[in-house]
Amino acid sequence: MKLLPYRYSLNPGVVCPSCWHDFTPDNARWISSHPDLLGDPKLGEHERLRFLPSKFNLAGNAIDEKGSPCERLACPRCHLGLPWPSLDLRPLFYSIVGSPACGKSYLLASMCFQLRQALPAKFRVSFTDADPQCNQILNDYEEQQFFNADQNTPVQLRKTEEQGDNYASTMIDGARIQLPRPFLFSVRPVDGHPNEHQSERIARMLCLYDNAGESYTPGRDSSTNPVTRHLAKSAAIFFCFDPTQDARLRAKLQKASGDSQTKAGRATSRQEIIFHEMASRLRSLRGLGSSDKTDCPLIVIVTKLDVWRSLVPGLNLDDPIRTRADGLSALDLGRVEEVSQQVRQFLHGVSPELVTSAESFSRHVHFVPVSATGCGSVTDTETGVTGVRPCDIAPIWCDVPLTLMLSLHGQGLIPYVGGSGSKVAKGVRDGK
Amino acid sequence: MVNELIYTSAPRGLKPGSRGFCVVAASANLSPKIVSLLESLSAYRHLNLPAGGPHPGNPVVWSHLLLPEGGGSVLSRVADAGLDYSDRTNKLAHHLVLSSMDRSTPGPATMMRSAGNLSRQWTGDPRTLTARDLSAGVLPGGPCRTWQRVTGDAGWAGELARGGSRQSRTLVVTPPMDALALIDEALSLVAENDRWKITFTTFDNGIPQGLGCLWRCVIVGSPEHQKAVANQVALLDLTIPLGAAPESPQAEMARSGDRTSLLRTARSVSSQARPTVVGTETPQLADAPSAADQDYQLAPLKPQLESIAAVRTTATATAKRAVKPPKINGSSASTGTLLLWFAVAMAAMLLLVVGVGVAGWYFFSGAAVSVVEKKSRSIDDMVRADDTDLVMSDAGRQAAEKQLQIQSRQM
Repeated sequence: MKLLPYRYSLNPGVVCPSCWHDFTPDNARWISSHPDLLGDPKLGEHERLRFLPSKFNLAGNAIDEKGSPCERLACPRCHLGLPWPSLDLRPLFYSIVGSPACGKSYLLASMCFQLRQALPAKFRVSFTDADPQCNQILNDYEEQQFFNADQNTPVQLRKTEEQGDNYASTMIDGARIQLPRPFLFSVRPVDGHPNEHQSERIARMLCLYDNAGESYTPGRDSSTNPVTRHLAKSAAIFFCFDPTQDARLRAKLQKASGDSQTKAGRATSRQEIIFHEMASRLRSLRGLGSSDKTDCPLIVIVTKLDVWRSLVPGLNLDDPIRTRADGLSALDLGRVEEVSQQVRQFLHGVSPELVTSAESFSRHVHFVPVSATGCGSVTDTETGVTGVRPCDIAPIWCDVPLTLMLSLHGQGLIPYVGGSGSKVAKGVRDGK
Repeated sequence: MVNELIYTSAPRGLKPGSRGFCVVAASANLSPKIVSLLESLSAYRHLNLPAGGPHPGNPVVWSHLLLPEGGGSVLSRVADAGLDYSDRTNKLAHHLVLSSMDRSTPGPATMMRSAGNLSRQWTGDPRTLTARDLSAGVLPGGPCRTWQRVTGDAGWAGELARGGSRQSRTLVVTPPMDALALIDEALSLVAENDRWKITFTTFDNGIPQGLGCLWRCVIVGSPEHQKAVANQVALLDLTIPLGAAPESPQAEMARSGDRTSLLRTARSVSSQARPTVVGTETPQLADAPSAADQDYQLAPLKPQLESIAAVRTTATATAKRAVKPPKINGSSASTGTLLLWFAVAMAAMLLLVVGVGVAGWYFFSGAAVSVVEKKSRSIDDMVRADDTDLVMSDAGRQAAEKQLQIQSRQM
């Protein structure tokens, strides 16, 4: 009998990255290929029919009822597409939370751009799209900013909406449900990684979500709009704090920076309300008491560093990665903690309620400063578009939050050195 | 009563604490369920980045959708609104929820084109909207000039209208085509009663699941266009030369602008679906449910030749179904049908008579002997059975005698 050229070792349980439904691999649906099989009861008349197969070809692909081989999978509950890595890689969910206009989309784009380069080069870890179709929006952001043929015309990322391309609509239990489209990445050790021989065990599928900030305002979560319920599965929370939206900092920032975001009259925001709403939802989803501390790590990402950096003198933001003579790199946790303390002190002087809330929410809190663009926005005289010029973009520390979490949660994926034992959550698995 | 909702990005929304993209104005008696649904209809994709004000190259989404469970119609205008208070891309979505009483005769597209019904900009503070009257608008008359200008043949408007509410269509358009004018002209060729049954959108960028859309306009090169091509959906591509439209009464109406035959056309369209029996005057066939009454969201349009064949096949099949027994009371049926059924009944009766006759002859002639013989055989069987009983009785007596002997010895 001819053997198959490859075999998948499947996870015993699969989690759908769109609706977070748990199921076994044998229950995954396949997406029909034949053009006549158009119309799915959950997704509508313009989507191909999803089905549970009974026939397969020699390559292990299902055969639809018209006899066409199929190659794509779908979740049995929401019928949305399921990338193949979700069957053999354990998922790692990270939630990015923040008020409108705090810079989540810019951070996500810069983070992914930096990680695609840093992880393979420094840690021998591949960071690739698990499903290029899923990541189309994010890839578009990266292309606009980092791979733009026109380096001088300012670019601006669209404001993230609560409907449209970032979301998918489906029918679950007879109700119309809106779900966020995840950004999915395969993270695996490659040749030269110290734990390469344990690749199957430590490789992960990273799931990130770019929710609109409005989704985190009180009252926006509902059963038909559960767009932030990935909080229940998240292994870490990245809370984005934008100092330019804090009324107390505005005056200081106006003197320190000429950035347009610090101008008088610009809307301010009470970001601790967003934080409390997020904390409340997470506690509710995980069955925690209102005063319980979670083991889920929290990183308070203080965005727009280029605007407020001058307010924190002595902030050493050199690359926190140390490389040995043999080429093996590790994250310098000591450096990261040092910067974290400095930023914490700065925030405590500006927004003590946020710092207190953060530290009463989670047992593992880090403060990381980032700048997604490294520069301020300019206005193009010809088009009138206000944005950042691709040639000026230089992200600062955007890869550190995720690298930090992967080193703590990756179970050997990214090495680290230094750091105090009480602070570092060694061996922390999925957040509780 | 018309209910409204306006959704855009503002520093402060109608609901306390809301900001960013939120409801800034709404009628007082909109239910939370409807508000949530209308918000989900507010998606917009900018094709060009605005610089301050709206970019002229960004299309407007005009759509007419039907609320589930007979909740009425939703007329929507969603468009680029320049930059918001945070200098980021903004949109303005204005939705009108109409009950069946609010629908105007000219139809949804005409109503949306009428100035003042749907807002193009938003200023001021969040507020509750009071009831107001809407303008019905003026139905376009004359030849379908927009179709003529876009495709070179106004008859293509008739081609779109021909399917009416029975056929879903996907149109490929490109800005700055006036897709709403195209749809309005096509709807003017549809019978009045059917206009509000036709759902449409001039820029499909994701309609929530469960809300069907019969006439979808997709922007050329958009993900929706690519998906339609990949799914081999039949497209009416207005971005390429189409040539002459197929001949039909609607195409002729679109070219000539003469809509007085619309009523006759509507009847002839319905008669194509349910043809009359030959040789009858004013036929009234048994009522068959119209597809238009039942389900507007039918399968996607198949290629034109197949669709024409399908219509003809359907018409033939429907004609066969239409030949039903005439009603007894009060309705006149065709003479031919009566004669046919009379002949069938007479044949049946004749067969019955013949059958009875044959059966009777069979019974009262030689066949009866065999029956008697069967009976006598059965009597003989009964006698033998009686003998058997006797034999058994003897055996029983002998057993009893033996028992008595045994008992007497024991005693």
